[in-house]
Amino acid sequence: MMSMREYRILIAAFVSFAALVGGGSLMQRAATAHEAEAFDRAQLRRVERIIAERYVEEVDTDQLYRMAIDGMLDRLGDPHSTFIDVDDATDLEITTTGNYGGLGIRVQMVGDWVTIMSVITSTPAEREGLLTGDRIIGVDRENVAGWDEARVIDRLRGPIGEPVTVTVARVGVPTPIHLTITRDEVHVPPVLAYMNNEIGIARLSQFSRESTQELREAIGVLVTAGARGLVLDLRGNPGGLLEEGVAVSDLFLPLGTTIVTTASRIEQQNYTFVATEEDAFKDLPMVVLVNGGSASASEIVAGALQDHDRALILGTPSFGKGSMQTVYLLPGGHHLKLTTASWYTPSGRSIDNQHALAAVSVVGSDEGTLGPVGEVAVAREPEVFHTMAGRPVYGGGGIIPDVVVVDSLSEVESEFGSELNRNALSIRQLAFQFAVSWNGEHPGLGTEFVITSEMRAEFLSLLRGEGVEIDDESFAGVQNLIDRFMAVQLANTAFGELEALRRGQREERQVLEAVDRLREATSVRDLLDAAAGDEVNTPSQPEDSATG
Amino acid sequence: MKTRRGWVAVIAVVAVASVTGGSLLQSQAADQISNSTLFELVHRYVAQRYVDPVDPDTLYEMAIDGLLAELGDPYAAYIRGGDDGTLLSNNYGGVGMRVLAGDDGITVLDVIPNSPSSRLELGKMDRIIEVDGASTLGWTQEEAVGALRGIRGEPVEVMVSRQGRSEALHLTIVRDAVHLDATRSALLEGGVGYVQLQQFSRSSASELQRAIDLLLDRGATSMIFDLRWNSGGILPEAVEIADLFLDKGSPVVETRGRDPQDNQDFRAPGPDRYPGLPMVVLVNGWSASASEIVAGALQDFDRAVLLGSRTFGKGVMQSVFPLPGQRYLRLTTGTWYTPSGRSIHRDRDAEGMTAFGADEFNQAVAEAVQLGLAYAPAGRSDAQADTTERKVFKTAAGRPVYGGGGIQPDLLADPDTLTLPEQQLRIAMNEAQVLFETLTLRFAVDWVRANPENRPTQVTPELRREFVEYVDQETEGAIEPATLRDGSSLIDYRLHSQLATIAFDDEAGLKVLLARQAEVQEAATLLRNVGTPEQLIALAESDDSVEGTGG
Repeated sequence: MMSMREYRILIAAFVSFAALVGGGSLMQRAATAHEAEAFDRAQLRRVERIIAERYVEEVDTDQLYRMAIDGMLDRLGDPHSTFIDVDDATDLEITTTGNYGGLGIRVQMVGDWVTIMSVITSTPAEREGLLTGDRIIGVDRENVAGWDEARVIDRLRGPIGEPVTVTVARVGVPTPIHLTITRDEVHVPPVLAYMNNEIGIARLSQFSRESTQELREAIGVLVTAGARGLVLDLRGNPGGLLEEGVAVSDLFLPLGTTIVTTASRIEQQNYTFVATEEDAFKDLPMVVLVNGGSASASEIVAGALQDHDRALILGTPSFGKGSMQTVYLLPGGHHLKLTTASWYTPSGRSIDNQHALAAVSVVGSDEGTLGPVGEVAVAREPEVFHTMAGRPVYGGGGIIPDVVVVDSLSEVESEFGSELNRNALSIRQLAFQFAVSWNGEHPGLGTEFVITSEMRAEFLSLLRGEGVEIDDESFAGVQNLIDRFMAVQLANTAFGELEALRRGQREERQVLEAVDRLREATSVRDLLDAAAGDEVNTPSQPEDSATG
Repeated sequence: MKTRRGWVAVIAVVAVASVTGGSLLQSQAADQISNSTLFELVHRYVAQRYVDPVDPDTLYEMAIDGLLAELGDPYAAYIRGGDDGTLLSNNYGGVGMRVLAGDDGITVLDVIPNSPSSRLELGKMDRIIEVDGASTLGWTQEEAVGALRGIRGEPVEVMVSRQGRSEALHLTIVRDAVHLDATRSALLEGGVGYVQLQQFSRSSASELQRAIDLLLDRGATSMIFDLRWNSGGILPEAVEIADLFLDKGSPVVETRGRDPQDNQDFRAPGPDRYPGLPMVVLVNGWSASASEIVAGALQDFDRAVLLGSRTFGKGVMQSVFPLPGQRYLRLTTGTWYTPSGRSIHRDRDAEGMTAFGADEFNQAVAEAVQLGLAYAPAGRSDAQADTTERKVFKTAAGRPVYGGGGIQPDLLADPDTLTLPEQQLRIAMNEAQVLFETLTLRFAVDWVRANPENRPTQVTPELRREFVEYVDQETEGAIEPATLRDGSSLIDYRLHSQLATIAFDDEAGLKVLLARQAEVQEAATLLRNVGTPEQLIALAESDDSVEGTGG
């Protein structure tokens, strides 16, 4: 058999031979490729000119090139590669850093008015006394009736240090309240954490620059408070910075452990990321919650912790975004977000469910190809990989949880939800409206409040006031669902986001399952063994699906 | 192995220096940067950095296609490699025969007049058993057509076997441009002529004129001019065709674009060739473009009664721009207006419908043609379209006509649709991937060949049984006998038409098809009751189903 050395020499010889023989024609081919490019570039100009001169409708000539940019990117067939206009670049900055000059409120249209849904702690809005439930009726003394969220948000945001006057209508206050608030850098805290039955729950809602540090601190507090297990909730977390995904994984993995490998056509973007410090929470059994809204960096974390058998993954399959984007700054303040690499979990799988991965097989380096990169193809039939401990895991189609737990509405409940949607209403908004008025009229709610029949009656009359025709029997059929929403919004308006989360998760099937499993386990090993003993990967349908 | 240190990834603002060099800082300082420069930058990033390699020239082509898609012109297209030829004329290099390939060779179904084959001793039902020395037994239809077609001027040798003749015939056919007549015609009962125009290509007007003249010679006293399923073609030909029926100097159509050369007023260059000939024009939802120009002009001058369902509504015109490298750009460059000043364009997006591009349109028409032109594909009929919201215009005689949303016929008639059992039979055939048209045609050819003395005038129960057995055998029982039995009216209809075409001629087959079409029968009834175009208009006005009084 031919040794590797001989093989290399042979290739080298062959290459130089080809170069000698084919030298002239190779150069010629290169010239042709160049000509083809020049030809097609000129062709685009001609098409652009004909449209500018002859198309039945007048189109701004300059605009045609913007259409060509959008059209070209669209035809790449990659939803993540997009051109971002300078006007939309602020949102990108917020997504990236979590910081901007604003007030610190979350708003949403409720009826005809943009309404404050929550006030973020330690922000100008909290300091100046804006309250959840306030309706924004004016900005800088201008009437904002009929404005949508985007327009109001646009006016509220601005340079740090500049004041803005907000006029709000508040339940129980007869006249409008004018507040002049100085904009400040608003930091949206990505972590909310609390204890449940000796188990710490930490929800990470996005990956921004401070995520890792805040998560580390939050878990530290939970452990000090006696947590003997941890639920890391990544449900609905759309991801963000790759580095933060790596850093969050690093918190739970031993020094030197592989976290993620990237493969790109650009040499500098071929990396293997490894943990740079020891597991900060060694021996803390852990469950990671994922669902279809967990994407990108969330999947890097879930994938790394699954492959290293560090956590039990529970929930429903994640989104499946196994590609990475680079954002290029363009002249004029525009940005190009372009997919430049694919990433692979430590066991070598790509969890991407749409991007064609076959093309990355060209990636290589002097040391050879990056492990199994070349072998990974788009898997319709899920390809099986193995964790470090030998458990089977699957490529493509997102991160498949070790334990699938579905949390869904009952038929009656989802019918009720659709009925509200048809009337342009939502349970969440109605519950919010109810909570604002209830707390306005009945101050002094205790944290361990219960939903009373008076509350239900008031909600029902609110519902009927909005034109929803519902008889008492049907209302009783969705009572469970409505109680939950009322409780969450009462907690939100009275005590804030954390209490609302705690209250809401009290009845969430996936959280309950995770807590139960952690309470019965003394180590990660226990957790994984117990799960392996189950009917792994079969969705356990709720028998009583009242927990929506 | 590299580690993560020092590397910023994903949502990182990366310096563009490697691509743009020093010019970046300068450009950034400028407030406005041209979008063409921006485009070039994006193009280079994608070419150099996108995760999958893409050729830079392919990217430009994607940009052109993408630009046209973003433009929102459903008729715009970047056409490659001269396939544009088929768009403007229907000439090709061939021998001039319609053929059917099969186990026993290639059967000649029809010889096209004035073609290379028509000048030779070749006839219907002849079998070509060899082409250029190769046996044709068992060839597919594609193989047969591929072998017979070729470069104009090049000869092809065929060996022909004919029934009742012991020796095979050796013939050399020199391929040439073959022109397919755009019309089909038939003389119906009561002196009603029927002529169908399938498209508007370069010689369509003279072909139409010839077809009408022939029908008049044979005794026709009125005319049904069928523009159903005619998706249009070239504008000058529409003007020529309208001219056949309009007085000299009558405006036919006006075009308006942004460029002065797209603004033209077309008038009838000659006199009405058929003055006093009562005429009904048939239209439906797939009559588009040039068909609508003709129908609109004849309606506005009260020259014909329009019957059927509302037309497609393509009131815009395209120009085809030749580009280097055998590429063409097709682009909407103008809107056209009928003589009364209306645009009949239907903004499909505004109506919440998908805009139809040329490809989708052709596909839908092809589907209909497959059904024998008699049937509308399910769900396409909107004969009862509401005109209350539409702008009213007046014809020369003062009758109301409507702008926007296609041409509204003077008389509405629902197109025939398949009955439920017939639809189920079609679905079963589609699912079994059985080509119904090919099966009926092959059966008809075999049957006529086996029964040379027997001229079929209808599908007898015995004949149908034979056909069902044939289908069963060909499809290895893929279609339930019950489905075949329940859908037998469709079998009878198509089989009868095929048999008539093979045993007699195209007109005989066409007449079978027309007999089941309500629109044609309604038009014929109207025409049999009138002597002049004026009487026809008056009759249509008094009809209960006239738009505006009906619903």
